[in-house]
Amino acid sequence: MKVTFPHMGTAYIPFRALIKGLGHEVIVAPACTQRTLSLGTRYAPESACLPLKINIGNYLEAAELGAEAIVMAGGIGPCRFGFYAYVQQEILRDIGCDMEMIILEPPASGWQPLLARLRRLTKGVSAAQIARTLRLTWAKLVACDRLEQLSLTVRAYEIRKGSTTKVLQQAYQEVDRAESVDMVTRALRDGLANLHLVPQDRGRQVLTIGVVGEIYTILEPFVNFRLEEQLGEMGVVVRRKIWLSDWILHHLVLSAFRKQREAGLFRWARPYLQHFVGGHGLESVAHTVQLANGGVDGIVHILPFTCMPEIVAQSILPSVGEDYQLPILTVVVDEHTGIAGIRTRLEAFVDLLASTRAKTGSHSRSGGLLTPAAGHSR
Amino acid sequence: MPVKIFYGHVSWLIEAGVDSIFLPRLISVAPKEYICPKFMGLPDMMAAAFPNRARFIAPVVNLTLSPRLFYRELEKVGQGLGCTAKETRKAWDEALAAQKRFQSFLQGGNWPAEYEAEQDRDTESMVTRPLDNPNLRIGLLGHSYVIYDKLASMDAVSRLHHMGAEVLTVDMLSPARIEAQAVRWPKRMFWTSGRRILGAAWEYTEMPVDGIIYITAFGCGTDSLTAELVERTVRRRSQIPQLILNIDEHTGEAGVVTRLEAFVDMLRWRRAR
Repeated sequence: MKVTFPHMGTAYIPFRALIKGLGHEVIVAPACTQRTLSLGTRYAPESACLPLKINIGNYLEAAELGAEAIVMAGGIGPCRFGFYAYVQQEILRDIGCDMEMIILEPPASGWQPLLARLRRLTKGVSAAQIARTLRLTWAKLVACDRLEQLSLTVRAYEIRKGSTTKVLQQAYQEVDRAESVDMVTRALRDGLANLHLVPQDRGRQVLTIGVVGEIYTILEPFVNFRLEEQLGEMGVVVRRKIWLSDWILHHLVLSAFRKQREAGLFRWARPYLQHFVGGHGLESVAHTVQLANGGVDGIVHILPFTCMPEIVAQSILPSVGEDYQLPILTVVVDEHTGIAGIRTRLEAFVDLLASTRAKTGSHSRSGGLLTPAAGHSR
Repeated sequence: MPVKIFYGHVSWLIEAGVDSIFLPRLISVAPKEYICPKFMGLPDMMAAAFPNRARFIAPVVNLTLSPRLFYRELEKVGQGLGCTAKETRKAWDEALAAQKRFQSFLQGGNWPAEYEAEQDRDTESMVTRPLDNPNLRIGLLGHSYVIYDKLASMDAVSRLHHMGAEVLTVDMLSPARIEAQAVRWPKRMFWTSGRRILGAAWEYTEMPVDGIIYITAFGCGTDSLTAELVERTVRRRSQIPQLILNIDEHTGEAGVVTRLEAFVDMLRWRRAR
């Protein structure tokens, strides 16, 4: 069976290993481009959120390369993502694209359907091979996240613009090519070393910006206009707390652990948001407070247009910003967003932070727990 | 848009000088189902916009959890208002009974505004009834806070009545029928309102209905997918014409009227053929 899946940043690297390990031919859709988006917006409902549209584009472009089946995650709400796969299936059906959709629902909606679909994917594969594949997939997932994490710091200090990104892409390729956990470990080690070797000017004054928001728009560089690269090249260290490996772990594998993780988030978000609101809304608020305490100069909050959980976060974040005297830039993306507009706003934001820094001296917010001016009295 | 109207309501109440505002945090009003995520955050959104969080009485309504937890939330509200557990329980039972009366009133083919009139209140907002013998029957879909709100729906219901159409809503159908139809969808809909809309849409395709109108607020997350599913399914299962009216704060009245008139004319023309 020729199997494909939607793109989300570097997710294709571990997913390729997973599906290949289960004995299927993998068709990775071409990286997202304007064409992907155009295909998606042609067939998807107008007011659906952006990821759904890009997914459709991915499927259609993969179909052109001969893909026969799609593996996609499901969900149990309240975020719209839980209904993506089903709506997409209906759309594909109506345009006469007869790809099979294998929807992996989280165990919380019942083990039975999940196991049935997994059996469909793992037919005839030995348990040892499955275990090996899962280990390899996980190793790649973690490797990609670690490489990206390091690049977010290195890029701010690089001497030649774009050199970090180039090294990072090479490292991704090595991880993608690796066929065993050992090879992944080696690729990761080399990749990290190479990133450290990127010529840098460590004496440079840099700003630190925290990125929070909806996971797809954070992870997929096509929809966020390479936000983190842009910031890095403006001499900004980017910090974030949303990583693909976390999402896979919590959304798909261990929804049972959610409670435990939420307890931590609740503590941070409590003065502002006291309940889980689906998607990453609670995370956005909690991470902003957490980052504010950890010494960032500003926050960029990114979300797809009409995203329900992030709208909740968006309407609450200004009061966090006020209490911590922390500037927050909200970036809403959809198919009409233009790169020039985003770039201008990022530049203006960075300029603003730099002038604040110049006035208040270096890194006023570094270290120590900050007491917000008025926050907890709310 | 309904959330923006909500901000307006709260702001009005605060200006009117109320001490506290009852604003339950609606998470789940049926087991294993959710409400739109924005409802879950409403108390926090209001606390961020208006000072003094303490003025909002926001019990958590989550019926996916055990009923015991829900009663405990109720008792907390009661305590805050100086009531004993017994009084709270009694008030809750009365509220439930009132809600039941209201729902069966709607099921009898009536409108919420008429209920108010019957209770001898503000009769001004009364919805006009259809002409004596309406010659068209339209199935209306949409969230209750849109279709029953004159502003949010641009008064679509009264306009349809004036055009001589009978209008059905989800609340006029039997809950058992809606439930029976809702389970026919392959994936369980996890939004309560969306689930009722899907069930009603399927029911309309099996009823003598001339047209289906779906009124949605621009940017509504749940409707963006629910309306898509309704549109595709109704088209596959029937010949019933559909109109999706997407309304926001920039929508002009004339545009809405024109589209409603054109739709109704088209339905009449089809019927005459």
